Amino acid sequence: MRLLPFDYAIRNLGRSPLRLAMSVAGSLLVVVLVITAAAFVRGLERSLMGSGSTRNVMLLGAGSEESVERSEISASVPGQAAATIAGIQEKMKTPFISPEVHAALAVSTSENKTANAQAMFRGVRPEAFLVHPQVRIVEGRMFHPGKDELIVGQLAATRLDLPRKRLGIGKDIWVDGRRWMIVGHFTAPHTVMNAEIWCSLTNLQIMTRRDSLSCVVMTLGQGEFADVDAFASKRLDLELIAMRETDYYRKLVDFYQPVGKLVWVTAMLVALGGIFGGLNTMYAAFASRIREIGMLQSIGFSRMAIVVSFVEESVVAASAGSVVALLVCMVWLDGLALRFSMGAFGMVLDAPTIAIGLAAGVLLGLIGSLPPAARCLRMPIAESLKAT
Amino acid sequence: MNYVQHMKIAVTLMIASSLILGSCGQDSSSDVADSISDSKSATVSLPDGIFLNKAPEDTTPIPDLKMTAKEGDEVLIHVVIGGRVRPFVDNRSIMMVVQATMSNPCNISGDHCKTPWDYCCTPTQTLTNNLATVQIIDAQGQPLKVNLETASPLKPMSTLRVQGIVGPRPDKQTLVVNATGIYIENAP
Repeated sequence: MRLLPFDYAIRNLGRSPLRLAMSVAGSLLVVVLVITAAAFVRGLERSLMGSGSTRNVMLLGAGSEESVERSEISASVPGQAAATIAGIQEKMKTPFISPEVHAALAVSTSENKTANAQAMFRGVRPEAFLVHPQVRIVEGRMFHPGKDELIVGQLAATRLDLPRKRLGIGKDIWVDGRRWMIVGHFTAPHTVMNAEIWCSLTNLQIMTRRDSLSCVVMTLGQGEFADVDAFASKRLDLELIAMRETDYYRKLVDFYQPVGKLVWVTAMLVALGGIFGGLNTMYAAFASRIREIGMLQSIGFSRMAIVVSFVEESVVAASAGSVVALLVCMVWLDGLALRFSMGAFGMVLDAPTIAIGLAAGVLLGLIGSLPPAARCLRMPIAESLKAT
Repeated sequence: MNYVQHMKIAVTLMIASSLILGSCGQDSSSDVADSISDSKSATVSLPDGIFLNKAPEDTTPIPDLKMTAKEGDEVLIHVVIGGRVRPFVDNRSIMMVVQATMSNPCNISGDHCKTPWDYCCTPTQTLTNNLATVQIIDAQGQPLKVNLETASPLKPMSTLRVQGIVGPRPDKQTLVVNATGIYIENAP
């Protein structure tokens, strides 16, 4: 089959700069929408899945597998686990066992103001940094136990809907009428911890009026998950359940799946509107070239060759829109922080997201050209040559 | 321009796209190789004769045993496998059991509970009082590295009579029975 030259399709694009601009703009908007939806879903999933380590096991209260904030376990569990479970990772005789309290608390920016937002607080000991190696203090210092000091994650300000400098080093926040000073900032990219506020375990227990823990997180070295599960199964007095940390966060991903699906459905519906708009533009563009189509057929080019040329035109225009959309999203969207119930997460523009956006652009070009091209080619050659 | 030249352009664009996509957004969450690995259980099997052909008699309720039993006592209990969503410990011959005479609200006709063996509708304290752990141990006193659910006819909600020796009792609520014989009364 003899095809039309590729540059023929490119030169035809320049025939009507306004129409070309509209095609590119239409494709740009649809692809921005698709990339936004993909970046949202990927960011949310990555933030939840990245929060769990495959080598970590959590001990939670029985019945609280879906929410660590509701879990309560005895403060003796860390010691009993360390004594009973073999194969826990150690460094310089310090076992990687982190007792933690997780609580969502209302935060106020001054003593007299009512609290306007909730943040996720995590009461920890220094072992938490062994068990959660994703967390690094990047500014300031660690809090001193026994003092009302905190360190805040990079996205904590987003979670509280405050400007970042409001949670700067040396600034104060009020929790339950008590003043706390921020002494450090930490980062834990692509995890829910990045939006948390960390303080001394004992201080948080006092603040929440409890002596129990929410969970114990441990890192296994040579040990197996089955050993931890066996410990939880035998010590019925402690009322524990053992879960891999990744399984805990995977359940949360499942919980938020309907949100992701809703985002996709919304994006697809709006994209469909964009496609129908693009179809209209293409119908008009091809309808004005019926005589040209007749001429091409009369000099020997097959209908398939003409369809391929039209598709090339449409795909190039849509792809140009996709590339511009990609650049816009890389500047504006990548890392953009959003709040959700568990904290905050950053939109993620990774390879799968980019691939989805580019594929959407190509598909748009394809779908936008085939029906109009097929319609225009239905006319017999003699009639198309006489068309005005 | 002919068909071959069109194909060359298409292939060039695809290679360029792959290079661009491959160089951006490297995903750092690839710690599959670093995951907790459990040792294989294929070569370990349950002891011969662990499953009995005849039902032993004179069982003792779990709440009574929790008050009186000492480490080393020989006991016989009448139980149902359950008490939590996953009553079997993966890769260990350990299972949770509940006193068989205790009613299970999840079993009421019309209740569409997907995991009725977890006794989720039973008050926690009542469940804990009627809960025990059964394990099959080796000569060294360690549970076998075998999953009871896949290596035996035992399933959640199976009703059993278990005879065995009471293990260490650090407190009144802990009751571990090292099984020497299991009779399956009825499977679900």
